[in-house]
Amino acid sequence: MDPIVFDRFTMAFSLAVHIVLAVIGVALPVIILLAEYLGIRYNDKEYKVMAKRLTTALLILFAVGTASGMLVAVNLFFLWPNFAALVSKVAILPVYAEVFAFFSESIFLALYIYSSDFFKNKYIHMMMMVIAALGAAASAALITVLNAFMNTPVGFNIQTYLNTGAITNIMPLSVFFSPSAGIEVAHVIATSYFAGSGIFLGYFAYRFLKAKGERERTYYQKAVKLVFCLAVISTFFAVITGILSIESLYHVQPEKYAAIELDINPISHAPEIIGGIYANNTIKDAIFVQNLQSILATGSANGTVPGLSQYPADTWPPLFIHDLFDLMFFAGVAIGIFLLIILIIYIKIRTILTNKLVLKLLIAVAALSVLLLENGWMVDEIGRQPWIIYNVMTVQQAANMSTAIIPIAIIIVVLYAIMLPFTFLVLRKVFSKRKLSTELAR
Amino acid sequence: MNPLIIINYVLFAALFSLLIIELAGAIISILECDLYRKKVLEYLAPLWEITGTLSVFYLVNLAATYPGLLPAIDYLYLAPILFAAVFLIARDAYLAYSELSLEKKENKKHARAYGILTLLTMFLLITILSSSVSGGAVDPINLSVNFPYLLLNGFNILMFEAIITLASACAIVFFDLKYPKILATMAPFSLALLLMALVIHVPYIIAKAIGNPLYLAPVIILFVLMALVYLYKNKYAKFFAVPFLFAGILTFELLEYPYLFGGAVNLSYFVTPQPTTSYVLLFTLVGGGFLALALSLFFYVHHSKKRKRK
Repeated sequence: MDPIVFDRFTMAFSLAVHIVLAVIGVALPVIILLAEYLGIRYNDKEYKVMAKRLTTALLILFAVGTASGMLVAVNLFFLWPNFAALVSKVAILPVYAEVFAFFSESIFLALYIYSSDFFKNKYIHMMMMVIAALGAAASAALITVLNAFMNTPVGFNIQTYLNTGAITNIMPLSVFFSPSAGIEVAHVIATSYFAGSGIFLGYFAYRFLKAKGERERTYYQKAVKLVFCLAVISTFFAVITGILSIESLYHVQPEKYAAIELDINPISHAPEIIGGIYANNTIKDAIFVQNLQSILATGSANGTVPGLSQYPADTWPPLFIHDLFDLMFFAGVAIGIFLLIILIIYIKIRTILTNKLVLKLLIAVAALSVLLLENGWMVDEIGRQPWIIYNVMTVQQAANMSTAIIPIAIIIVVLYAIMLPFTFLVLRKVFSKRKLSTELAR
Repeated sequence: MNPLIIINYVLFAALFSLLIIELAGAIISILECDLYRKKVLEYLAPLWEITGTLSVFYLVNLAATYPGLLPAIDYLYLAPILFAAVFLIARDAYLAYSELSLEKKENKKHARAYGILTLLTMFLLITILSSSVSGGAVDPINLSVNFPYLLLNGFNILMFEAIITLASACAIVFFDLKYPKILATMAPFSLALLLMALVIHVPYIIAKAIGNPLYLAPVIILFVLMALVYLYKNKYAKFFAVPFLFAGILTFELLEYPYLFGGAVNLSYFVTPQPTTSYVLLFTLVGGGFLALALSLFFYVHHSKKRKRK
C-alpha cells in the first residue's frame, strides 16, 4: 500500500481528534475565569465551586491535549519531512513562538492550581488563569499563522525555489503577515470559543436535566447562563469572521474559493449554488439563487467570480468541499438564529434557559458545534489539496515515503482509541468521588 | 562556535539531566514503591512539568537550528521517536491519573506503570542519542537504518547501562535515600562504563578530551564536590546532582562539536541560514527569559507551600 495514504490518514486522524481537545483548552480557561470572577465579585458559592471543578477537568483535558498536540507536532515533522525542512528555514518563527505561548499556558495553569490559597488577594490568584487563557489563545493563533502560510506562502523567493530548489531572500517575520494570516487567526479564535463553549453548554444543559435537588439545579442553571453568554458572543464573532474569511478567499485563494462555491467557469451574475454535486461536467441536485454569489463576493450582480477552469484540473481540490462548506454554513446559521431567539426571549422571560425543550436543543447545539468545527477544518485542509503549501509544494512532494510509517500509523490510531475513552473514564471516576452536593455544602 | 548550536546543546543538557533525575525516580518507583511515595512523588509534579516543557522546547529548537538535518532525522529515527512519543504520552497520562486517583491500593500499580513507561521512553531516547553520536546502525548520507542493530549494538547497550547506573546513583543522592554510602561509587562506575563505550565506539571524543583536559574540568570539580558533600553533609548533595549532570552532558556535547554520526556530519553546514538565525536567537533569549521567570515563580510558590505544610 502507498505510504502516502497512511501519511494522510494519520495526519487527518490526529488533527480531527486534537482540534476538539484544543478548542476545549482555549475556551475552558475563559469559562473558569468568568466563574471565578463572578464567585469573587458576588461571593457566590456556586460559581466558586464551578471554577474549582472545571479547573480539575481542565487539568485532565489539558494533559491529554498536550499529549495529543505533541503527537500532532511529531506527525507534522516526521510524516512530511520536506515540508518540515522548508518551514524550518522560512516559517519556523510562529511554531517557535507557539512553544512559549504553550509554556505560559501550562506553567500558569499549574500556578493557578498550586496557589489557590497562597495569595491573600484572590484577584491576583485569578490573574494566573488570565495569563493561562491568553497563552492558550496565543498558542491557537500562532499555529494558525503557520496554517495561513501553507495557504498563502510568503517570506522567500518562491519562483527561485520552484525553478532551482534554492531558498533565497528569506524574510522570517513576513510569515506573521501573510495575506490570509489576520482573518484566519480571527476566525479560528472566534470559532474555538464558539465550539468550546458549545460543548460545555450542551454538557451543562444535560447535567441540569439530570440534576437532583434545588442546589444542584441552581448550580447548573448558573453554569448554563454563564456559558450561554460566551456562546452568543463568540457565535456573533464567528459569523462576522466567517463572512470575512470567504471574502478573503476570493482575493487570495481564488481556486479554493471556486471549489467551495462549485464555480466551474468564471462568470458574472454568478448564482449562489446550494448543495449539489459536480458529475459528468454538470452540477446536479443543487439550488441556484441567481446573482447572489456575485453580490456577496463583489458587491455587484455584474461582478465576476473565478472558475476552476482557469486552473489545471490536476490542481483542483476534491469538489465535495462545496457540500461540506454548505453544511457548515447552514448549521452555523441555524445555531446562530437559535441562540439569538433564546437571547431575545431571555430578556423577557428569565426562566427560558430552564425550559426542558430549550435544554435539549442546547445539547444538540453541542453536537452541532463539534460537527461545524471538524467541517471547517476539513474545508480548509481538503480545499488546499493537492498542495501542502499552496502553489509551492504538493502533499506528494512533502510526504515521508518510508514504509515504516504504516505500523506507526496503526499504533497512533490505536493509541487515540485507548486515550480518549480512558480520559472520559478518568473524568468520570474523579468526579464520581467529588460529589457536587458535598462541595456546595462545604 | 556557532551560538545557535551552543544554545541547542545547553537545552539538550538541561533536558537530559532532568530526564536522568526522572529516570532515577522511575527506578525507585519500580524497586521501592513505598519509598517512591514518601521521597519521589513531591518532586515529580514540578519535574514532569519542566521535562515536558523542555522536551517540546528542545524539539522545536532542533527544527529551528538544523532545518537541513530534518529529512535525515525523520527517515532514520521515525520509528523510535514515534514509539518514544507514544510511551511518553502513556506515561504522562498515568502520572496525571495517579495524582488524581484517591484509591491507595491502586497507587503501587500506577507507580510501577509510570516507572516502566519512563524506562522504555528513556531506552528509546538513549538509542537515538547513541546512534546519532556514534553513527551506529544508520547511514545519514544514504538514509538507511538497521533497526534491530540500532537497538542492540554495543555502544547503545553500554550507554544505557551507564545512564541507568548514573541514574541509580542520582536516585540515592537526589532523593536522599538511606543506603550504604558505598553505593555512591555507582556514579564513577557509570562514568567508567561511558568512557569504555566512547573508547571502543567513538574514539575521537576521547582523543579530544585528552588533547584538551579543560573540557573535563567542570565535570571533575563538580563530581568531587558532590562526592565530598554527600560523604559529609549528605542532605545538601542533591543540589549538586543536577549541575553535575548538566555539566557532564554539556561537556560530552562540546567534545563532539561540531560533528555527529561518528564524524560523518558537520552540524555547521546544516544550521539555519540568516536572517532566521538572528530571530531564532532573539526568540530563544526573550522566550527563555520569560520561561525562566515563570518557572522561578512556580518554584517559589511550590517551595513556600511545602515549607508552610512542614
